[in-house]
Amino acid sequence: MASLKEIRARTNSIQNTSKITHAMELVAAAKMKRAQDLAISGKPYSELINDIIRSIANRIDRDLHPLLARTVGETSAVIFFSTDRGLAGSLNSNLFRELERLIGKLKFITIGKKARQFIVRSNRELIADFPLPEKPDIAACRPIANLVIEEFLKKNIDQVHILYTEFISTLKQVAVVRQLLPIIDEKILAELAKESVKQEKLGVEPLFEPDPDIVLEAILPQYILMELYQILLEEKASEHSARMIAMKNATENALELVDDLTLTYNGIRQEAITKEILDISTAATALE
Amino acid sequence: MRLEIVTPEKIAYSEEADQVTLPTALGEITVLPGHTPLVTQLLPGELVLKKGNQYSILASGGGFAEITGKKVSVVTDLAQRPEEIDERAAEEARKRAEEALTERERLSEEEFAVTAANLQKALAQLRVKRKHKR
Repeated sequence: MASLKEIRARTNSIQNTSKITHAMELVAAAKMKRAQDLAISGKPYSELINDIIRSIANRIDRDLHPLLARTVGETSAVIFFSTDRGLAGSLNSNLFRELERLIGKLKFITIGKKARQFIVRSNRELIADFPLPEKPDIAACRPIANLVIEEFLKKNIDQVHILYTEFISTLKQVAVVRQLLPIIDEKILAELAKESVKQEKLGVEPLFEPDPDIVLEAILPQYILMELYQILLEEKASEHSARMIAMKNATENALELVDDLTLTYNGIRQEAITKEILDISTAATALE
Repeated sequence: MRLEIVTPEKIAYSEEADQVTLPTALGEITVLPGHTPLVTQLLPGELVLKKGNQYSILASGGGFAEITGKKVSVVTDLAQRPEEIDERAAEEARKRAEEALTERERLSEEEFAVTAANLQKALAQLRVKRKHKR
């Protein structure tokens, strides 16, 4: 059985750990609030742009702009969003698992240290790595958007996917893969086909000002940029939420351990006292 | 008609409106209910909306508007009421952008575009703010 001293040392060390995890929990909680607010308030904007793009794409020739057009070939660039630091529960390992399921010829663009490490260690092709900004801002997404648009237009890649953690709630974040380019994927296409039948009946044909090309030329890159920004916001919100929960659990586990150890400690101590008294009383009886 | 103005930070407006004037790439247009469907590019400027007898004015940034018969959707990177505009910050932004633009050869094409857009935005903010004061 462990000695009193050993148990005391362990209790202290666990107690210290729980203090650290508790502090991290508080920090993550504060950051989480901000990140969640941003992610939630950014959603309407990206949804509205989405709506506009869809209603445009619906009524124009899809070959009008290369970013919309369907592509053949299976070289896909994956923009992989992860965190810089660990201690965020299963956040990153869920992403890695999702990544293993991707097929085709893949090239990676990573954001965050964990993604970069994973891609390099597993000998996958890394074409670019971008730092994960501490505070999400649009400027940080611009080089990523430019890179994928450029590579896509040069036909070095046929599709662009994004792998990230979708923020659903504080308790739930899901690793997902979404298609970024070409902008219209097969699923949307099917929906559009239905919608366009409806619209033909209504007979609305929108005007474009100044003209379709200029509007598309301006709106499509903006759309990609804003999508990336929104995803960055969600990734951040997910990261802080996951870390908050992970640290909360760690703190609770540590305190539970401390309770157990304290109980054992008291038991051993009591036993020792009883033994001592027994010794003394035995000695006293022997003397009589 | 329904008017929705959305920026990356928030929904700036989502209510009924009787008319709205938008600063588009081809000049200002005023949209009334039943307007023909239109998708248009917006430039930084002033957005004026009318509800009942009341006019309100917003400083708006670059973006897009989709107009259908019943609804006007505006996506823009800026939509501020005069009282929300920080005149000093806008003035500083204008100065910074103007200074940066004097050294045009040192900027990449993209930095130039971003800075020029920032300048237009700051100017729009200042115009709206000052108009409101008078």
